[in-house]
This record gives sequence, C-alpha cells and structure tokens, in this order.
Amino acid sequence: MDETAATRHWLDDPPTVGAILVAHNGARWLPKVLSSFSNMFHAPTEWRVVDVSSTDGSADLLRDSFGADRITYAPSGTGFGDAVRIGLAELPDTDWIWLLHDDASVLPGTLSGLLDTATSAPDIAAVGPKIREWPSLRRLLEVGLTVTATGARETGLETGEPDAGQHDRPRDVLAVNTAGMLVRRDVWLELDGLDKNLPLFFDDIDFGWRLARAGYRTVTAPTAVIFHAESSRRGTRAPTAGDVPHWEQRRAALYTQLANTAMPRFLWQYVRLFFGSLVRVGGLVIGKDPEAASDELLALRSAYLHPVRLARARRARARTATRSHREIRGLFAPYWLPYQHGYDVLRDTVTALVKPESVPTVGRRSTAIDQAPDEAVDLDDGASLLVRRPWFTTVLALVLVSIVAGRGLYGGSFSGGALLPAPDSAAGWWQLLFERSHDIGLSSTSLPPLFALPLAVVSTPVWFAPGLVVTVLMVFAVPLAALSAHRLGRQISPHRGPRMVWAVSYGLIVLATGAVAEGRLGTVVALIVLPIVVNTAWQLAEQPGWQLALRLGIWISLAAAFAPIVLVLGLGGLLVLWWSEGRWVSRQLVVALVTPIVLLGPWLVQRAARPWRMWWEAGYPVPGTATIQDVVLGRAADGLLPGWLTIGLLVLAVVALVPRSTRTGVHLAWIVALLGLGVALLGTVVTYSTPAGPADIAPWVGVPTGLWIGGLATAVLLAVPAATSWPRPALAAAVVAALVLPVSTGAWWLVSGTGGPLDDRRPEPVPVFLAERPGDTLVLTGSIAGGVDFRVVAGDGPFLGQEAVTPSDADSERLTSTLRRLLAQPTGRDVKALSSFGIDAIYAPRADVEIAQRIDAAPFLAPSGSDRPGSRVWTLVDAPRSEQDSGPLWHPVVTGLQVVAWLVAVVLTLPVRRRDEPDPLGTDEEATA
Amino acid sequence: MTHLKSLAFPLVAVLLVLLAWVAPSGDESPRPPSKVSITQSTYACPAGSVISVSAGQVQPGTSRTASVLPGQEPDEALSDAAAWQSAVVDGPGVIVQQEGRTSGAAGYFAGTAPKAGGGGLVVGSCPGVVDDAWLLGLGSGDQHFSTLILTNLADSTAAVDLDLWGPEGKIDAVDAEGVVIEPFSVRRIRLDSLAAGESELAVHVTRRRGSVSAVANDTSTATFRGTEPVTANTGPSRDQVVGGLVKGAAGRTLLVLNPGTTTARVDVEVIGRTTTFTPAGLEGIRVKAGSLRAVTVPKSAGAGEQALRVTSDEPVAASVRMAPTTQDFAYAEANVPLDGPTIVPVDVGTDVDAPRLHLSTPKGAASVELEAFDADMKPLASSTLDLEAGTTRSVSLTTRGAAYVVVTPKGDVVAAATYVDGDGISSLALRGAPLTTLAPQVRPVD
Repeated sequence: MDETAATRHWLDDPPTVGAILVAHNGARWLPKVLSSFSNMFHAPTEWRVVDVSSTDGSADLLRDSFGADRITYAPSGTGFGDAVRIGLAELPDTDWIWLLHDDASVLPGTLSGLLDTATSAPDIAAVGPKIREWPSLRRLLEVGLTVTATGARETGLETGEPDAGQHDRPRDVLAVNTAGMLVRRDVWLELDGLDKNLPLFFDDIDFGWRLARAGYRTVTAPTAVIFHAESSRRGTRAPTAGDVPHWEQRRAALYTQLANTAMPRFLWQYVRLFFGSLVRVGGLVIGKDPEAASDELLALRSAYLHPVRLARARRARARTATRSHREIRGLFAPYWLPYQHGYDVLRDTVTALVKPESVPTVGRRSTAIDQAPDEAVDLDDGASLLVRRPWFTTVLALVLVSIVAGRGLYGGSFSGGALLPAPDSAAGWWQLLFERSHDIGLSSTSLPPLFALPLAVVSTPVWFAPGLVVTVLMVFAVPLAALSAHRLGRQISPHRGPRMVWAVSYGLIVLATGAVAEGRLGTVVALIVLPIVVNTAWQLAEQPGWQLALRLGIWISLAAAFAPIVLVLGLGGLLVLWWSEGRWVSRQLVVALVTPIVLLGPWLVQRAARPWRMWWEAGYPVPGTATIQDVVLGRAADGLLPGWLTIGLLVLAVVALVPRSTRTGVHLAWIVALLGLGVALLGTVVTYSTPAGPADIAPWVGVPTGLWIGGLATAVLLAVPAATSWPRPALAAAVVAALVLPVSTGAWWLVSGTGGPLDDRRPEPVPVFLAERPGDTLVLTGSIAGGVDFRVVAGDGPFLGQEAVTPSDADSERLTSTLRRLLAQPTGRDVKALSSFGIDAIYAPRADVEIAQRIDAAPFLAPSGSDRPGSRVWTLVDAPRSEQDSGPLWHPVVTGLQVVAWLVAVVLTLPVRRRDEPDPLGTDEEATA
Repeated sequence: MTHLKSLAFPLVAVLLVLLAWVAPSGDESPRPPSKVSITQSTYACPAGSVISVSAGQVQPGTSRTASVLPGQEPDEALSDAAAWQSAVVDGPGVIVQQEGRTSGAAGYFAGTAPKAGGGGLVVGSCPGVVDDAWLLGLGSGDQHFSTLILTNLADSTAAVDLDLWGPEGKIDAVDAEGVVIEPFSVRRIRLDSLAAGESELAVHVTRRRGSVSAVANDTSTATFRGTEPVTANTGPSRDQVVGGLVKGAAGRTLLVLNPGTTTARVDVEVIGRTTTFTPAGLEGIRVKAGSLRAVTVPKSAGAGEQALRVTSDEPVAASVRMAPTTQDFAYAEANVPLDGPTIVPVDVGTDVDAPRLHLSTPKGAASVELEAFDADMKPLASSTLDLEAGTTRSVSLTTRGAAYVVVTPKGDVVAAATYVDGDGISSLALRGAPLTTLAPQVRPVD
C-alpha cells in the first residue's frame, strides 16, 4: 500500500473517469470483456454503454451487466465517434473519458496504469494502453500509432512481435487506438471528439493528430494492457446494414491525410496522394489483387469528389491548431517507410513467382511461406549450424568460395572473353530497348536484343551500377545454379545428402563448362534457369494447368533471350514431356511453346531466319573451341579442367541404368542428357554467321554441354534410392566417384580463381584519346592476305547488348566496299567517304605492315601517335559527318508491346489475391502466455 | 529386355559421338585477296626542261589532272583522259591523277640527257606509290653517280627508310632512315651524300608513311657512259626473268643483290631467240650474304636480243646493265610476266627510233595481241604474235602515226621495250597497266 501510494500520487485525489463502452454485435466477445471489468484495481467513476443496433444478443448481455439505465441505444449505421458522442451526452461530468470496445478486454490494472501516465504531466490529454492479441496472448498489436505520408497506419511493431517488455516505457505518440483510450473530457469537447467523417477507421489517428496540433500530448501507458480482437479490421464481426464498405479504410486514410496536413505541404500531398493512389491501383492490378485495386479507386473517388467536406474539415482543424507541423514532426513515421512497404510487396510478388510451390492453390497468397525441411529452423541450438541447416550452410560456403575465387574481379567493371562491360547506368539498357536508332558506330535501326529487358529491369534498383547485376551473375554463378538445382532436387529426390551433392555438382558443372571464365553470360543465365524450367515442367506433368504452362514458357523465354539455343533444347524437352506424359498435357505444351514465340517476338525471327544463328548468345560471338572429347567430358572450352574428373560421373550414370526400381526416372534423365549431347555435338560440326558481321563462327556449346552432364548427374541422383541397398564397398566406391567431380572442381576453383579472360577493368577497344574525339574510330585487324576485319567503335566502345544490334546492311556494305578500296588502292574519295560514316580516326591495334603501308598511302589522313606498342593511328583531316538513320517508329512500339507482353505473362502466372484482411484472432482456448 | 532398353542410352551416346566424329566440320573459309577494278590512278613523273612526259591509258578515263610540283599548278597539256598526250613540264616533277574505272592509266618520261651529265637517251615509266622499291645499278663514286628521286603524292608528310648495299656488303649509310618528303614535293637525294665512293650500289626504299614514289637517275662517265632512269625492280626472289637485253654481247653486266643472311648460289639461263640455254661461265655464281655482285655476262651467252632467267637458292634481286657502245647504257630490269594489257609508248615526245618490243616466254608457249593507237586513241593496226616456249622474240613497233601500242598477253610473257636514238639506248621494263588490283577481303566484326 505504501508503495502504491508512493507511485500513485493521484490516489490522494483520484480523478473522475467516465467509461463509455460502445457495442455492436459483440456477443462473441462481450462475456469475456464484461467479466474483465468486474475486478479492476481502480474502477471508473461512471459507466455508460452505447449499443448500436446489436442483433446478436449483445444488448441482453449489456443490460444484465450494467442495468438498463446505463445503456443508450443508437440507430444502425452510427459511427464510433457518434456513439461516444451519444454516450457522453448522458454521462455525468468527469475529468477523463475512457473509451472501450466490445471486443477488447482489460486487466485489473489497466485503468490505474492509464491514470498513472495520464496524471504524470498536465499537458497529457490522451493516454493509450498496450494492446495485445485477443484473448490474452503475448503478441503485441499496438503500443501507440502513427501514420506515413502515404496514409498507411503504422504501429512500429514487427508482425507477431511478442511482448517482452521492450515497449514498456511511456512515450509520446501521434495517436492511440480508441480501444482503451483515456482522454481528458475538456480536450475531447474542445476538439469536438472524433470526426463524424471517420465512422470506423482512422478516427483515432485523426483525433491524435488534431490533439497534437492543439498543443496536447498523447502518451502510451505500457503498464496498462488490453486485449483486442480487432473484429472490424479483421472482418469477424457479423455484418449488418449500415456497415462501412471495404474501401472506407483507404478513404479514411486519404481523408485524414488531406484534412490534417498543413499548408503548403497540403498542396504537394494532394497531388502526390492522387497520383500515388493511381500507381497503387496499377501495382495492385499487376499483383492480381483486383479487389484492393477497386477499393483504392473507390476510395480515391470518394476522397477527391468531396472538396467541400474536405475544406470544412481543414477549417475546423485550423481553428483548434496551435502548433505547427514542424513541431510535431517527430511523431510521424520516417519518410522511407512507404518505400520499405513497397519493397515488401515486391518481395512477396517475386517470392510467389520464383517459389510457386509455396502457393499451393489459387487463393490467398501465403505470407509465411512454408519452409522446406532443409531450411526449417530448428530452435534446438545445441548442434552446429551444419547439422541444423546443412543446405543453408552449404550455400553459405559456396558464396564464400565464390567471393574468394572471384578475387581480382571486383575492380568495378567486369568484362572479357565474350562479355562486354555493362552500360554506365541502367538507362543504357532501357535506352537500347526503346531508341529508334542505335549509336554503335555505324547507324543501326535493328530491333534490340531481348536479354536487355531483364537486365534493364533487374539493374533498375541499382541504377548507377548496372554492372553489379552482371558481376553477381558471373561471380556467384555456382551458388545460384546450385540453389536453382536444389529446388528441383527437392521435387525429384527425398534424399537430402545426395540431393545436396547433386545440386553443388550442378553448380560446379556450370563452372566446369568454362562459361564463367569465358564470359559467356548467356550460358550462365541459361544454366541457372534450366533447373527451374525442369522444375516447372515437372510440376506441369503432375498438375497440368495453363498457369504452369505459361510459367514454363516464361522461364524458357528468359533463358532463350540470353541463349537462344535453349529454344531448341526447350522444344526437345517439351517433346520428351509430351512423349512421357501423353496427350493430357498437349494443350499445356502448346501454351509453353507459343509463349516464347510471343515473348521473344521479332527478335526471335531475326535469329531464326538463320537457324544456326541460334547459337549466338548474349555477348560477342567469340568462336567456341570445344572438341568432341571436350563435349563428352562436359567442357565447352579446352584447357580449363582435366577432363578425367568427369569420368566417374559418366560411369555412375551408366551404372544408374541398372537398378530396375528407379529406371523410369533414370531413363528420362538420360533422354534429356542425350538431347544435350546431340545438340552440343552438332555445335562442333557447324558454323554460323552474324548479320553484317563475322562468318564461319564455331558455336559455343556451353548450354547443351551443361544439359548433357547435368542430365547424367540427375540420372545418378534418381538412382540413389536403389543404391542404398548396395553392398557397403560398392556404395563407398559410388560415393567416391560421385564426389570426385564436385570436390576436385571446387578445389581447383578455389585455388585458381574464377579468372580466365574475365577482367575487372573496362576494356579499351581504342586508346583514350581516340575515344574522346568527336567522331567514331575505325578499328582494323587482320592482314591483306588473310582478310581484314573492321569494327566501328563509338566513344569508348559498346556495352553489353549493343553487340547484338546490327548496323544497317546498306551502311555496312558501303563501308566494307569503301574500306576494301581504301586497302587496295587508297584514294581521297574513299577517305572522305569514311567521314560520312562519322569516322574520324583509324586504329590498327596490331598493325599489319602491309595494311599500314596501304593506309599510309591514302591522302587526307594524318598519321598520329599511338600509346600502344605495335599499333598505328591515323586521323582524318576532314571532320566527321555523322548521318544517323532514324529507325521506324514501330520499333519502340513493338518493343513496348513486348514489354507489356512479358508483364502480362508474368502477371497471369501470379495467383489471384483476395482482399487483404488479416486472419481472425485466436480462440478462447489459447492459453495466456 | 528392359536391360537392353537401358543399354540403348549409352549406345545412342556413343553413336552420336561417332556421327559427330565422321561429320565434316565447318571450318572457317579462307579469305584470300581478290581483284578489284581500279577507279583512280596516281603516278609521279620526274620532269625538267629536257624531259618530255607522256600520259596515256588503255581505256579512256573520265578525267585527268596533272599537277606540276611543287606548286601543284595544273598542266592542261596533260589533262585529257581520252588521249595520248606528251608535254615538257616546267618543274621538278608532275603528279598525274586519272579517274575512270579500269582506265589503265600509265605515264612515261623520255629525253636526252645533257652531255655534261654523261648524255644518253632516257626513257622510263612513271611510278605510282610504292610500298618498297629495289633499285639496282646505282653508284656513288668512280664517275658513276645516281640520284634518288622521291615524290610525295599526297598532302601529308611522307617518310622512307633507305637500305644500301655495295660489293662489300650492306652500307651503314648516314641519315638513311626516316627520310622525310614534304607533301606534294620532290626530294632528290644524291647517293654520294649517303654513302660516297661506291661504284656499284643497290638501294632498297621502304615507305614508312605517306604516299611516295621512287625512281633513280643513274649517270656515268666511267667505262660505261650515259644516263638511264632506274625504276623499281621486282623484289628479291628465287626465280626471275630479266627481259629486254638489246643486241650486242659487249658491255653486259649482271648485277645480283643478295639482301639475305646466307650466301646465294645463282644460276643463269639465257632465253634466246629460239631456245633457252645455260651459258658457260654463269653457273653457280656465289653472291655473299648482304652483298651486291657484278658479273660480266660472257660471250657464251650470245649477242642477240634475249632475256636472262636468274634462279637462286636464296632470294636475290637482279638486273643487267647494257653498254653496247661507249656512248650510252641502259638497264634491263627483272620483271614479272604481264598480268594484263600493257602500254608500249611509241611517241614519247622526243625523237627516237621506233621502239623494239622484246617478249620472253620463260614458262610455256604464249601469244600476244598488238594493237597500235594514235594519240586520239583510235586504233590503227593490230596483229597477233605467237611465242614459243622458252624463247625471246623482238619486233619493231613501226606503225605509222602510232602513239602507243597496247600489248595484250595470253600466257606468261615477260615484256620490255628498248629505245634507240643514235648511240643512245634505253630499256623500259613493261608491266601490266593498272586495271585491277588485289584487295583484301574485308568484313565487319561485332
């Protein structure tokens, strides 16, 4: 008692408190709520109950508890603010008003806790309790409220955050929930209570905002606790006539923002919220949440079509405001919070796309994705991380090894081999997609390569460092491929250990092909995506559906955009699927087949016009060097790794054919592997040419080679169940053979590094002083006897994607013949012709003597010094006259349509969302924590 | 049965490998240079008050511009691309530029040298831009002096390197590297300013940058006397033909340059009027590495109009100095077989006898078609000559009113023309008119 007296000085002269309980069809919670009122340490002085047309027996419960004389009946549709107003009219005069909901129970010390804080300072006008989950759980719902500039209600709590006393210090907040709010009666009257225009939502925030502007404080009282069922927000209250529509919540948010924001910020907010809402509508439509999009539109219409009501509200607030917005700025949510929410939504959407299996049915999207057994969190922290989360640990190790192996590649730029550097900003890729004429030296009006689209999209968040995307893909190719393979592995094998070895092996197979070292971005992306393609095909075979077929087509399209040969392999794979699954997937397979044709569109036609050109992946068409032996051993480039490392896998794959029990799956894997082998071997005997570019190029066969070895490894994985019954020595031998490839390759990778032709320095196709000249540079290589190759370099050279843009045939042919004449018998006319192409310098990096002599003989060329040994530079006397052709207008239109097609296809594969309503809270059976 | 089905998979893999093994692989096709038509020809002629410059072509061109150096004043007397024109140009040189597809423009200069310089008849061809030029028979001492005439045909500074050889080996000449020729100018370099006291010299001109043509003027008042222009020889090779030897066994000196690092063993055959034979005394001539050797052609080689076939185990350059009288001398230069029609100048703007055309067939039987034209390019007469294998046939081009004769070969024919004016003689190695040239295969790369 002494202690209480010491801390509760208000007990000396207890303030009077009038409690107003508003009820509306709350019979489900009222018994518990009413019983909680019966044993409070300090009870309210007066009680008043307002029943808003309850039809579920609530009125009887209230009458039994409070007596008929303390109850007022309000008509249907009465908002919470009006109900309080009605109750207050009949409530005797008290110092404080305590607002109570019919779905919120209190603890014995709730009111006293509130009064402790309320009486601690004279300027405190409102106090709110700590609100926990109904009926009596530890999880926190609110400890004070604020709002973001976009009108989102913020509690500042994590989802499901348990109450461990971390918020138990009273603090000033913008607002507190009306459930359990203790407010000074004089201030309530001064501010005219809750806004009549906010019958259900945001009335608390609006009131707190006005209260703060009027010079009062709203404080949380964490020692006071109530348990709130949030029946209105969660939709668990039985609906009746007069209930607010769904969009009311968003309307209330907009109204609150617009009514309370002070000038001149109001003008900005008025415009921002309008267009922001439209953007939200677009986002919600894309995210396939049509109900929410509709709510947003209706709320926008309602908020903006009543300017008079808004002006009246603003005038009323101006009358009571004594403090500027600047003085209460600290009570609002930080400016970046809306962006974090946007990111969360995006993350959810991407998760739903990449992990479709986490969305079991079309319906509400899972917010807490079921974790796979390998990823399950084991709270028993006695064992090591490797034992508890072996796959996570493995991936972590692969990432670390990638970082170490990628040493020397973090210099900023990233290129080499077939890989070109990234543009200076993501704008480069966007511009490449939509510009009508490409500045690549010679004028070009050809359609852009489709792989620029995913690169542009992914690099947009890292606008000024788009190279980061390429760096991550190349440096972390192994863990990324292992991750995608492991997801497939979970579908096809229940054995955790072999599955992990298989996934890691697959990741290292990507490396062993030489794709990373050779800068073959197309192969890297394709081999990362390939397990996802197979995974989706697997799901399609199990549960045929057009959405899965569309998703399969999208993944094939993505891989084919980077490595068009995937289309050939994909066609073969679909035929295998059709053969193995029969007619009942025919329609789906047609969808999967047509999707890439639509999504890759005219660009595909450009490649398909010359079928062998399908071998040309993203990047320079650098010839491949693989021999038949290399292909069989899983190498697309010679000299990288000893071929015998793969022999163990080849033997195991043949042995995997023996067990009868696993033969079906193994056969399927072998067929896929043979498809890869056949296409890869085909690549060793054919050549292709690029339009207006080099001819007779030996294809790079990284993708089919990866498929061949990956298919064999899969066959081995699928035979594991049968192998478990083998004699121990045979099993041990098989394990050793299976581990040779990943262990040796991993060790080699760690020791020698990712390296290869890849480099972290930006290549300089021309000396810097030439790159800075106004015109382009004609770069010559080769010899008179063996042929001369030329390239027109604009500025400091092309970036990734521009290599696939071909100059106009007419220009290319004209320059070719001009150059041929120039190198045969130079004349002034030919030199002047160079100027008309925008060229103002000739650069021979490894100057062939005969070529140099012939150019030397040309008039109107001035020999210039070169900073590189063995090279020669000539500058044109005439100024360059660049005449860039402008491409047809339909080019950017077609590209735009393709972007829309991708967007629509992706959106169509998303599961439909229902209205975003949280789950109803607990049952009475849940124990008090 | 199912085991057999399983076995099929590795077998299919092996079959695919075998198929790939036997399938023809697509290798990169070779890209040798190919011929392209010449649309513009430029050549430079040395000029002076006693030298007449002639300009002609196989086919009429579209335009011709003659720019007299150093001021580049146009010379209208040489500006008709559809005519054979001769004129004395007042300047140290003239640059002729002719437009027209496969026009086959060619220029010549002729004159009689003043007595003070040794006198003698001078007939030479005007060279275009040379990548490198091998000039034999030059001198810088013992009353045998030569002047190298370098003409810059373009508007940018040109530079050449000079290598000199004498009988004792390569000469470390002063200021022979990076010799600069200003734009549109003629630079005359007396060889005694580079290496004095050498009675026999060979010079190799290497163009380092710019557009340069090279020709030499050789004068002598020694045992052989007279003046002769020396134009670029074919480069060193193991098999070459020196055509256009005039009558007279006396005063024939074979000059052989071995620029390599190994002693060359040189054999000489005479392609005579009726047959090819090996003369006594010209077998196994040893030419030391990096040296120039002068060998007197013995009488066993005969005195008729003939050609010499010079073969060697090392690349050598060869030329023959001919001094049948003591009043003038000439050089027969190693030459390649004609690769197309060539022009034999008849009206060279100075009084000379009708030229004699020497046609040698070092490899097999051939024929040539001769067609004479007047100055307006009207054909006057034509005939066909059949040439037996391994012989040299000489004819006089005496068609009245002819300004030039076009010689069109069928087969391998090495041609030269010789000119006589009293005691003066001059030899002109004939090369195909510039109709086409080899151009590299060019392609864009990404």
